[in-house]
Amino acid sequence: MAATSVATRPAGLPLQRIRLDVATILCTLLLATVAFVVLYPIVLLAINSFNVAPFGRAATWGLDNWQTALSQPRIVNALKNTVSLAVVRQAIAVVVGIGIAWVLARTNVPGRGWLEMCFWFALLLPVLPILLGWIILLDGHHGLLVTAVRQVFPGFGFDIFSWWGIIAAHLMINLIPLKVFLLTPAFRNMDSSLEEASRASGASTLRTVVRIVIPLMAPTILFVTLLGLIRSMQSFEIELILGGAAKIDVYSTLIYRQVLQSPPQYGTATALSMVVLVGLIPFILLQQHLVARRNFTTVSGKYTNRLYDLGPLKWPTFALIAGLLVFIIVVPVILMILGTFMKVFGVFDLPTGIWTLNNWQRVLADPKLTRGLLNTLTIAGGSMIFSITLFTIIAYVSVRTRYVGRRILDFITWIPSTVPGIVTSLGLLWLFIGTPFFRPLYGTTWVLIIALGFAGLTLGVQLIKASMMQLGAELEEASWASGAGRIYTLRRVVLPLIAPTMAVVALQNFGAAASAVSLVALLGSSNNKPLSLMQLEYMDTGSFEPATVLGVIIFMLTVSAAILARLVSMRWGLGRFDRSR
Amino acid sequence: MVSTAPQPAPQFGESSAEPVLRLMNVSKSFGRVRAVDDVTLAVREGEVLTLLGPSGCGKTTTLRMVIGLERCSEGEIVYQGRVVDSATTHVHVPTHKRNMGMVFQSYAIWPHMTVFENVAYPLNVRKVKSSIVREQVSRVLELVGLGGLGERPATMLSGGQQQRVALARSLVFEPKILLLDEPFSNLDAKLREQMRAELRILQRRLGITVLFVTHDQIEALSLSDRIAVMDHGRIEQIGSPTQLYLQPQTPIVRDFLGRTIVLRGTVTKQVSDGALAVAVSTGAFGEIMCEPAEADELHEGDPCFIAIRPEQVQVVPAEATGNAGTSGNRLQGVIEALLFIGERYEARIALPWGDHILLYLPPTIAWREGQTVALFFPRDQVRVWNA
Repeated sequence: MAATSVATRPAGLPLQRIRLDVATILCTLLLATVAFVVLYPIVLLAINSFNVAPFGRAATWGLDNWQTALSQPRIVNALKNTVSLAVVRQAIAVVVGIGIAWVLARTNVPGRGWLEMCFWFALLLPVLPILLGWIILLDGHHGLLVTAVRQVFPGFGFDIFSWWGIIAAHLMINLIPLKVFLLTPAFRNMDSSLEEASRASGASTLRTVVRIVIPLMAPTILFVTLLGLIRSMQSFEIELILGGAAKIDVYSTLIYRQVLQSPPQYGTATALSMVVLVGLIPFILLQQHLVARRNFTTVSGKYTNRLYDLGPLKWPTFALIAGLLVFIIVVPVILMILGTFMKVFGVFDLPTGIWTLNNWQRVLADPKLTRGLLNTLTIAGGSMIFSITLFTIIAYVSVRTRYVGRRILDFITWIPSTVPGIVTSLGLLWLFIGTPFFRPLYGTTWVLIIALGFAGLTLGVQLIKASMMQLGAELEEASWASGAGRIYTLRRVVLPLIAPTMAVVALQNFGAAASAVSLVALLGSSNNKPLSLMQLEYMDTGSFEPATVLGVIIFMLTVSAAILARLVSMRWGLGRFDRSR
Repeated sequence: MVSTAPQPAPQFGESSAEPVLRLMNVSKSFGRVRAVDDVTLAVREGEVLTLLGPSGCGKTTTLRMVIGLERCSEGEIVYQGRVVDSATTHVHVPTHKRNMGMVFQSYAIWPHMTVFENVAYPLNVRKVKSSIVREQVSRVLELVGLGGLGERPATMLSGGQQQRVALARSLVFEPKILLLDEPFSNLDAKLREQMRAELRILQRRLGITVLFVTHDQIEALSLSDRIAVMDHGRIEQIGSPTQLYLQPQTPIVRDFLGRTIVLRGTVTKQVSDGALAVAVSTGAFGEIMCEPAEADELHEGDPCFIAIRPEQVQVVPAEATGNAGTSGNRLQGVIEALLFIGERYEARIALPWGDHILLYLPPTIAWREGQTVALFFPRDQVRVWNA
C-alpha cells in the first residue's frame, strides 16, 4: 500500500501546482487591468502628495502637505462628523431595512410584489433633484411640511440643514431602499420551517424575528452594514448642500474645499484621502473575512417558503410601508417636477404669480439640447453596458472560481469607494495628461465611458456578488453535470437568476453616468458635452430653474431605461424568477 | 499456444468485465486534512454501489471527485475505460464532458425554469433536435411519475416532486452511471420509503449503474448490491449488504450497520475448532462460546468484546429453562422496562453485573416487567473482537 501511494506522487513536485491555463491567464489580465485603472491614479496622487511646489511649478519634495492635512483642527472634527453620521444613519437604515425586508419577504402583506418594486425603483432616483424636493418640504424657515406642522404644533422646529437633516435625507433618498433591496431576497430564500419551528415552540412573531431570523441572516446583515459604512466615506452631495449651511463638515466636503481653494490644495487633499484609505483597509479586510467564512447560500434549489399570516395587521402594515414609499418616491418626484414650472424654485409667495413655462421653453429651445441628449445617451448607455459586463465578470471570478488572485481582485473593487470622487477624478486627469501613452485618449468618449463605468465599481460588484453568493453552488454544479460548460451555465443558469440585481446595477450606473458632473468636466471635451454639463453651465450662470428641467430630463431617461429593461426581461421570460408574485 | 499480451487478471472478484467506473488509490487533501485517503473501488455495470458512512467520512468528496467537481490529490479515476482524472499525468476531464448523471442533495432545481425546461436542459446542451427533446423529456417525466407536469414552474412542486425532477434531469441523456448524493435526506420518512422503492424499481428497469452516497444504513442495505463503508476517508469494507451485516470485518462496520449488543469480557480458553470461550464481565456470570472475527488474533487472558445482533438473541422466560441457568451460551437478565410497539415488544434488560441491553421480544408470550429471562446467544452468531 505504501509503495503504491508513493509511486502515484511524482517525487519532489508539490501537490497543488499553479496551472497556467487560458482561464488563469484571462483572470490575471482582468486583475491587472482593474488594478491599473483603480490603483494607478491613486499611486500618482500619493506620490504627488509629497510634492510641495505650487501647482504647475517644478516638483520639490517634502512632508508639508501631510503636516497641513494632519494638523488642521477642522479635520478631526470632519472625521468625527463623518463617522457619527455614518454610524447613526446605518444603524437606523439597517433596523428599518430588516423590518421592511422581513414583511415583504416573509408575510402575506398585500401588494408585496409592487411594494418591493417601488423600493427597487427608488434606487434609480437622482440624488440632487430629489434633495431639492426635500429642501422645499423641510427647510427650517419656509419648508412646506415644516410650516404645515407648525400650524398645528406652534413649537415645532425641524431644519433639514442640520445633523439630523443629513441623516434623514440619506435614509429617504438611498439608504432605506438600498437596504430593503439587499435584504429582501436573502429573507425570502430562508427556509420557512426554521421560523415555524420557533413559533411552534411558543415564541411570538417579534421574538422569532429577533431570535431566529436575524441571527440566521446575521452574515448578510453584517455584510450589508459594512458595505454601507465603507461607502459612507464617499457620500458627498447631501453633506455638501445640507452641511454647508449648517457648518457641518465631513471628510469628503473638506477635501472638496481643499481642491476648490485658490490655489487648490491638491497635496493636502490627497494626503487626507490617503489617511482615510489606509484607515478603512481593516474594515474591507473584515468584511472579506466575514464573507469568506460564513455561508451565504440561501437559494439552494429546494424550496419551502410559506408566508406568515399577518391577520388583521395586514392592511395597517401595508399602509405603513406604502406611506413610507409615498415620502420616498411620490412626494419628492412631484416636487421636483413642480419645481421646473416655478419662477423661483421653492418660493411659493411671489407677487407676480409663481408658475411659468419659461424654464421648459428655454431648455427645449436650446440648440445644444439635441446634441447633449445624444451625448448623454452614448456616454450613459456605453458606460452602463461596459460596467455591467465588467462587474458581472469580476463578481463571478471572485465568487465562483478558484482563481488565486480572486481575493485581491475583490479587495481592489473596494478602493474607489474609500476615495472621494473628486480625488479619483483628479487622479484620472493626472493619468491621462501626465502619461504620454494615454494622452491621445484624453477627451474622447471612450475615456468617459470607462471612467464613469468604474465609478460605480464597489457597489455594483458587491451587489452582484451578494446575489451570486445567495445561489447555491449546486445549481451551477448540476448544470455542469448536465453537460454544460462554464459559459453556457453562466448564460442559462447564473445570469437569469441574478438578472433582477443586474438590472438595478445597470440602471443605477446609467443614472449616475447621465448625471455625473465632475468626472465629465475634467475628462470630457466640448465635442461630447452631455446634458449634465449643460445643467452645470445653467447653474453657474445662476439659472437654477432651467437646470432642474435638465435634471428632470435626465431622470426621465433613466426611468425610460428602467421600463425598457422591464420589457426586455419580460420578453425573455426572466420575470418568472420573481417568486414573490 | 498463441500468446498475446498478458490479460490483466480480473481484479474485482467474480466479474471479469471492465467495470464502468474505477477509482485507484484516490486521495483528496484539503490543506492538511485528508478527506479521502487511498480509496480503491470499482463499480460494475448495472450494480448499485453505495458509499456508506457518517458525515465527514469523505463519501461526498469521493462522489465529487468522480463527477469532476473536485480533483484528486493522488490516484486515478477511470470511467468507461478512459482516465478522467489523474494526479500523476494531470489529466482532468471537466465535469461537463464526463457524461455522468447526478442528483444533488439539494436537488438543485433551477427556479427560473419550468419542469420541462429543467429536464430538457441536458438535451439542449447536447443540441438535440427539439422534436426529439420533447419526446424524450415526456418519456422520462412519465418514467419518474411526473407525466403532465411539464409546464409547472419548478418552484411550485413538493419536495418529492422536486426530487423526481432532479432524477429525470439526470436520466434524460441516458448516462452510463448515475451518481446520487444523499438524495432522500430532504424528504420526510414516509416519502423517503416510497422514493426508495421507486428508485430501486427504476434502476432495475433501466439497468443503470448507480453510485450512491448515504449515511442512512437502511437506505444502503435496502438499495445496494454492494456497500462500501467509509470512515475517516478510508474504505473499511466492501461487500454485499448481507456480508457486511453478518460478517463485519471491523468494529466500525459492525457498529455502523444495524444495532449491535456489545459486552466486555476476557478470553478464557481456545477450543480446537477455532472458537473461543469468553467470560463476560468479571467471569462470575457465565461463559459464551464464540467465533473470532477474521482480523483479530486473540489469546487466553486477552480482554475482548463479544458482539451479537439483538435479533439473534433468543429470549425465554427463566422458569421455562428450569435450572439450566447460565450454562450453554446462556446469560440471565431481568426485564426492566417493557414497551409494546405493535408487532413486538422492546425490552430493556438488566444484566446481573449492571449492564443494560435493548432486545426485541415476540408478542406471543405474556412478558412482564421484573420478570427474569434466559438469554441464549447462538454460538455461530456471536463474534469476538479485540478490546
